[in-house]
Amino acid sequence: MSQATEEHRAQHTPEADRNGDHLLLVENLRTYFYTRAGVVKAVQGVSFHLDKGETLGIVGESGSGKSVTAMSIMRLIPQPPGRYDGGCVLFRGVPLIDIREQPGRDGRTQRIDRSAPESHMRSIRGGDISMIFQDPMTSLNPLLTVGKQIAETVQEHMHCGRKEAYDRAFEMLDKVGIPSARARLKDYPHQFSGGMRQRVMIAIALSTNPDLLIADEPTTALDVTIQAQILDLMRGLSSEFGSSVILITHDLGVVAGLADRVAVMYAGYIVETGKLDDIFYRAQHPYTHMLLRSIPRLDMDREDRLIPIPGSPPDMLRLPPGCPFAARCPNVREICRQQMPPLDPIGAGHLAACWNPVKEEAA
Amino acid sequence: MAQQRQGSLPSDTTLHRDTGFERSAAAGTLPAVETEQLPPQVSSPAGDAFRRFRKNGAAMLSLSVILILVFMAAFAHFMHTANPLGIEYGNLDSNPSPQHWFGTDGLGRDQYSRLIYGLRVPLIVGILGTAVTTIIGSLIGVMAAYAGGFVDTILSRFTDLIFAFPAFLLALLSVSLFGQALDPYFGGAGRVILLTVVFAAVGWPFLMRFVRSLALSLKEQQFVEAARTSGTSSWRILVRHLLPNMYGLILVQAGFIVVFFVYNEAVLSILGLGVQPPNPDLGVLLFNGSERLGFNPWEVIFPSIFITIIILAFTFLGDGVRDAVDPRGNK
Repeated sequence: MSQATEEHRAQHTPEADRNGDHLLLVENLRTYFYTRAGVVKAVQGVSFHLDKGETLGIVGESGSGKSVTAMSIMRLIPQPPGRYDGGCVLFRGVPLIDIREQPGRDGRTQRIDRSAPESHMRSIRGGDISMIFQDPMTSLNPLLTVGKQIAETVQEHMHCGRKEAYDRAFEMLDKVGIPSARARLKDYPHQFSGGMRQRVMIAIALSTNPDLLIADEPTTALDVTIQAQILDLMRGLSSEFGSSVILITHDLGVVAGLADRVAVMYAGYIVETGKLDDIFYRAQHPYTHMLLRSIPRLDMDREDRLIPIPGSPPDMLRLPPGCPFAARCPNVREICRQQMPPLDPIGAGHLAACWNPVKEEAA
Repeated sequence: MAQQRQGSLPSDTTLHRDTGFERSAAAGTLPAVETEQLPPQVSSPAGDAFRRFRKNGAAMLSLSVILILVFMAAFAHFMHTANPLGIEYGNLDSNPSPQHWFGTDGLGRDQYSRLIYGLRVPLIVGILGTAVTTIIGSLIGVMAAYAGGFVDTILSRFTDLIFAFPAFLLALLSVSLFGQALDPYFGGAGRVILLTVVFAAVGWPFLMRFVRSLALSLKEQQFVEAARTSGTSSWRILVRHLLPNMYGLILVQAGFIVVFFVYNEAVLSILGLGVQPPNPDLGVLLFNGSERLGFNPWEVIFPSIFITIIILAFTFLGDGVRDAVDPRGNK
């Protein structure tokens, strides 16, 4: 079944080890939106990497650039108004985005675009990188049977016939735990509950054996009990299929259950990244620190109060110079308002972008 | 299908891997919903709409009336009682009688035979013109909405340009300019072809705007985004995901466009720009009848009844389709 995919991969991966062991390498990615009201710098210089079989959680509040980062990796930002203003996304060594700006001979900046052609992106999307969305109620075409929707994706990417595609669809529906999967292939989306539909979405996403699964708030629209089941399912299947996962969420609890590493985003920057424990127990950026104190935890005393972060996220149209969190930060210094701190290592694989990080405190 | 599934549900739920609510939801609510609300067939959205349509008496009656009229027009050759062009001088402006069911006109021609031949023009212009204009409008609308940006601006402004011309005046102008040029080649059919083309060419902007606005909201739906993230081509998204989700509402609008075309065709004929005498046409019959209203009202009454029936039937048909595809709007 995967022979065609393997051939296709061999074809498209001439420089397989260009980015070392990393399955995905994002470097200094900048995605801006040029709107009538002004330039929205949704993603400004984001860098991270993802290895095979690893799960990366990207955490942040609404508007912090999580989803734009994901859609940029898929290269599906609508242009205009969106524009990739620099950086590169290397997926198995192939530049999905590779945009550099150099001073040209005439002194003006020259934009050099070495991104992969759109035809290559179309085989990547759904074949090598799949995506799951937030709202399972609207993620399926109401007019096509569930079986057809899975089979069409399989046929498109695995280059097989209708019969094999439907067999694969049945196998996947069964794998995601839908009862009497064979009969339900002929059902329409409205005959499934929300949790069931999210299972179908997972079945579609994994049906092509993708190397990378991007889950954009996969549990936000679901009941808490269903959330746990869907997360279990994602954990089990991604390890069974050997897929790496990028899990985008605003829910730290979801990340804690699934991620190996975490990147915390704020106003288009990654402000802190590290292993799961680094973020949850040794957070150094004041934003991460305060975020953790604002949610309830099982080991809290009854008298402990949740401490909300004062203020609100900055207006992305009028970002102040310096660190975007400066206005809400208790550790703010003069330099914070003038210059964005670099994302510097503060431990093994643990990086934070802060001039005045939180010191280890007796907790 | 549903029966089979209901029967197998309990055993399957025991095989279900996860624990918790989902299982009880599958076992508890699904069968209940299916037995009480859904019909016992596999319910596809199109099948459901068709079933609702069949239960709508007014719509089914309209559909039958339209089919009968189309049948009469198509087989007028076998159904006429006299030559529609045959002049009978001894029997001018007669009342309905066993020989002439609807009476005769000012030249003694059989009104019934003229009427069923006359049905051909409005039906061809209405249905064929609407089909062409609907395809043009839908394609341009959905492309503009999906492409967005520059393409959308160009297509929308072009549509505005066509829309800015009063459709009726444009039709009037083209018919009076080109009508006589076509007559030598196609004879009486020349005007019919011309009317169809002209109406199709001026009717689509309204539909394009309608489809564009529908597609704009539809393309924000996650299943379109999901299709894009799974590498589906743009053309396939248009014809597989966007258009099929609007077909019902497009059909409703098409019903109203038929009405608009039939009405305007009649008006053009009354102005003497439609089908040329002696060829019969509903509008022409009405026009001729109006001149003789004083001594034989039947010559106006019968064509009027038929035009009214056509217009009402298509209007009710459109309403019926709307109720079928969007049951929430009903009551």
